[in-house]
Amino acid sequence: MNFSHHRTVSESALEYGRGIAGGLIFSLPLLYTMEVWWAGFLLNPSRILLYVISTFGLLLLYNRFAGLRRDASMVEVVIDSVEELGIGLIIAALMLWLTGQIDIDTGALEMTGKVVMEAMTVAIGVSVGSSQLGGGNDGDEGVSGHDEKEESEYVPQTAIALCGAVLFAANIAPTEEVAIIAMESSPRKILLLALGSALAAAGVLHYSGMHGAERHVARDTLFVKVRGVLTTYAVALAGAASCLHFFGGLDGQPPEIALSMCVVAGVPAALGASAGRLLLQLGSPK
Amino acid sequence: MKDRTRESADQTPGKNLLEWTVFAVSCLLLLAILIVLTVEAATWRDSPAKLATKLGIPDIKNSILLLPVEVSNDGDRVAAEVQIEIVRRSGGGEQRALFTVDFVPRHGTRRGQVSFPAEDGQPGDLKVGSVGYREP
Repeated sequence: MNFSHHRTVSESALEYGRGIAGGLIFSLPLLYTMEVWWAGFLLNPSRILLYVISTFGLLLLYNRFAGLRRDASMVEVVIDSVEELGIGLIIAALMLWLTGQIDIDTGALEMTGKVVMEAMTVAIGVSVGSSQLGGGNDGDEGVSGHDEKEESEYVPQTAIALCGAVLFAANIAPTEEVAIIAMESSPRKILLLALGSALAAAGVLHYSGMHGAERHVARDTLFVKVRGVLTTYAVALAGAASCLHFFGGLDGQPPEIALSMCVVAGVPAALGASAGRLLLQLGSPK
Repeated sequence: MKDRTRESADQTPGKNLLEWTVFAVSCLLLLAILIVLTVEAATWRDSPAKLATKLGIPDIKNSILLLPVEVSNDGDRVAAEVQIEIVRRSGGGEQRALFTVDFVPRHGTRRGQVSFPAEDGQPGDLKVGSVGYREP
């Protein structure tokens, strides 16, 4: 197997530590949300299995486009993604045990469901944390050092936006509040929420002066800017819909309420997708 | 997961013992999770909740009878808002206590306790009354 790097044990331990910190920081609200615990035993096992596979795919995308150097092989990307899932499972199990949600008497299926439903978001947090929480100021620009803008950046940016959207949407998608807001809000307000989300995404991307804006979007033409905002919002809605589906929020809902729920969960998802495009790839290849 | 900004130029690229250990443990965990979920998904029959209630050994302290109750679900669907009525007959009288559980997961068990005033110091005749639940 070809590897692109070598670290000492202490360097690896430091990175795992950063990953664990990221996992806890980004998923702590979920670890304290009872709807997520319930999802672990309410959902059909096949949907939980699909959730694991989808999260693994998302981790592959993130590690391919943001977490690794360009010279990292696909094997390394897969190994890192498996490690993140493993660390996520351990953190989730430990936190659920510490908070009294699982114990030795909990059935195997219930325990598996609860741990998995929590662990997937933790794993994304581990991935983001280990690659983004480090100092990264050792002067190694790696392959990210050049400034040449490429059209091929569109797909990686879209993938990273999806990671940001899921990371943010997952924190509210399991809650009942999403359905309540969707049911109680008039269609006009839902439309305003959608427009507001898209505008917020545009603001974050092009007018916030956030870290990474200069490098990733400042030189975009008007067409590319509009395409970027629309894509970011579409990705945010897709991320929100996926999270709602995997937590069972869309089950039994009529189409208009389901759509409204996607828009409601799409608000944090749009912010996560747009900020993710700028922040989650500061040290990543371009 | 790694940002690989600390690559050591004087070392042959590769993983160290800690990294291989974390990877091996992660593989085992992931494999176990995938096996459990695949088996459960394959054997899923979507049968309704099937509740069974078991009464524990009553304990009388300070004229209060404490009775552990255990409810388990052998069906494939989850039972929500499970209500179990426990009836105690003693000295010609009858007492009822209600035991409520938010959820009983498929193939899962929940435990609780009910209490009755027991001035006579006898457990009396204890049995399960009505049992009801909602499908979530």
